[in-house]
Amino acid sequence: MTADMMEVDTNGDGTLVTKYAEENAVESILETLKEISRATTSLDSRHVWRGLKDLSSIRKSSLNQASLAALVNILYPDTSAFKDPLLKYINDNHKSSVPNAEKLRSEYPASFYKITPQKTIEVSAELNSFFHLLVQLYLLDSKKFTELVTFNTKIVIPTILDIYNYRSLDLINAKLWFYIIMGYESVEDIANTEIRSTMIKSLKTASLKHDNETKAMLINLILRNFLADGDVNSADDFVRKVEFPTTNVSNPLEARYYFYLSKINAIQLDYTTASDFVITAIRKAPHNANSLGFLQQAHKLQCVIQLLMGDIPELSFFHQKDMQQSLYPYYHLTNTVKLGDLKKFSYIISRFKTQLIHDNNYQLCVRLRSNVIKTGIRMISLTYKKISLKDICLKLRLDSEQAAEYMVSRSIRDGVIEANINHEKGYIETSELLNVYDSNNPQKTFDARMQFVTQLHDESVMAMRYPEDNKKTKSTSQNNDADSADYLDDISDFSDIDDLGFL
Amino acid sequence: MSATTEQPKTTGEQEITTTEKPVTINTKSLEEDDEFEDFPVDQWPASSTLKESKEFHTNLWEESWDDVEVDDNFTSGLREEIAKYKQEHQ
Repeated sequence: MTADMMEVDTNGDGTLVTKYAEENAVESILETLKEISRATTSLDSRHVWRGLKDLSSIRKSSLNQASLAALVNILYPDTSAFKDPLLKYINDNHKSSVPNAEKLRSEYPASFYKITPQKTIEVSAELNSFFHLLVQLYLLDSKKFTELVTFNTKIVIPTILDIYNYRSLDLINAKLWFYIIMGYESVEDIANTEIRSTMIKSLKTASLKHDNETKAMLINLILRNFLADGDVNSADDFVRKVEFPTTNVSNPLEARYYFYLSKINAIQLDYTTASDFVITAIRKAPHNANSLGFLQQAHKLQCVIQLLMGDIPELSFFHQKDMQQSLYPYYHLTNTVKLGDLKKFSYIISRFKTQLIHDNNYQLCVRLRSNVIKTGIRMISLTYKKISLKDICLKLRLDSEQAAEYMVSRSIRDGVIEANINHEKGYIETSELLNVYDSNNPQKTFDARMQFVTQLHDESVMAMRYPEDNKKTKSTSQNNDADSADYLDDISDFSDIDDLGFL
Repeated sequence: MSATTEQPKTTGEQEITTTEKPVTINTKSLEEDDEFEDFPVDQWPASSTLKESKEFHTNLWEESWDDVEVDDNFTSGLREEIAKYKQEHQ
């Protein structure tokens, strides 16, 4: 298969011929096509899933103009309606051909093809869709962004997504939609309303067909579109009306969904829910080199939400691997909130304004001003038994005594401090602090933690997946017992017992 | 399954660079390879990377906010007082 010598054949008239160097690329793509076409015959979508896992390695090594063009020439029969448009977008209107295309094609498995109602031979739906995905990736990676957008609007949506109606296409369609939106974003068209309504229509279809991965992907992309447009209210309405699928959805999609939910809730002042959601998003996301950007954004959001709730993130939070630089402005922000220093806060906000806007967190961070003041008030009430409103004004650099009084009353109402305001004489008097264990707080916190841990446990049990194996024979039931025995072992206190006789 | 996913190992004259992952290509994880292109990794101008700036360092000890330098009137006043006290009792 490997060519030790790279020979480039050219005809006398200079038409493009398959170079031997590209044969490897073509071969590796072909392997994936074979894997995917197994889904056509077996009606088992796991083959599509396996084929898609090759996608990133194909993308890095084999996607180039020559190999794609060669493959189109060989794979697609001349009668195919898709052949010419594909070649047009791959080749930029240059002509190309492959000698012996017919002969090579005849060696391909029959499952690659199907007969259309018009009695012509056409490439199968699965391969055709997958191939269009490859072309999307090629256009994206070679930065042909406008061509990508045209390709998507003129070819992918009308001739692929709207036409085919096969269950096996769910995973591929999800990816096609993703790169449609990536195409728009690469030409800075991040809040396109037309594609939004197209997506909503397709969402209805996907819901009816129970194409869960596509449905999840579309929901995420629509939310992303709304948020980029700044339209949080519509995003919220949309979330209420739509049901995110819970089965057969990949974890990364779920992670994104929770992230968007968290953002929406935070903007709408529901910080507790937002905090739960962002923690879930971080938990569900994969933790590998690819997901670093997502994790960085999620951690930033988590920090801001915690601050808005009145908590201070631990210092170790900011010193996590690969997060330090990203969280740098947030570290300073946290510091000023903790100190209650309004002047520093304004300075930090203006110093890091561009980055906060770039992170889409500026709107939330500006709200922290009142948190800064509350912290300042709390520190004052801890330090002074009795202090005049005027002094509070000076210390916190507030504009007027009325503003100070307002902030103090807000703080008392929010339970930040325990104090009495003497309005006539103009001073604040702190009352004795209660022992926190006399209140219900420890019980509530403990209950919340128990709930979280139990939920985590339940979700983990449900999510336990056994590796797909060929050894799913007689040993299956034995494996099940052994696995659940191990699990019980872990969670029980009897983990020092070696034999499992007590089961 | 490993046979079908055998990527061509690089030979000396190959143009296609598959050098990055000669080993890992054959081991498929159970998880999806979602590349998260919609969340690009934060990029920094070279001058402000951690290597350049002296502000961050990984600590070997447990950190807490109490260890962070506070720069307000009270702390600096206190420092001055301590310095004065030391001088007086030298």
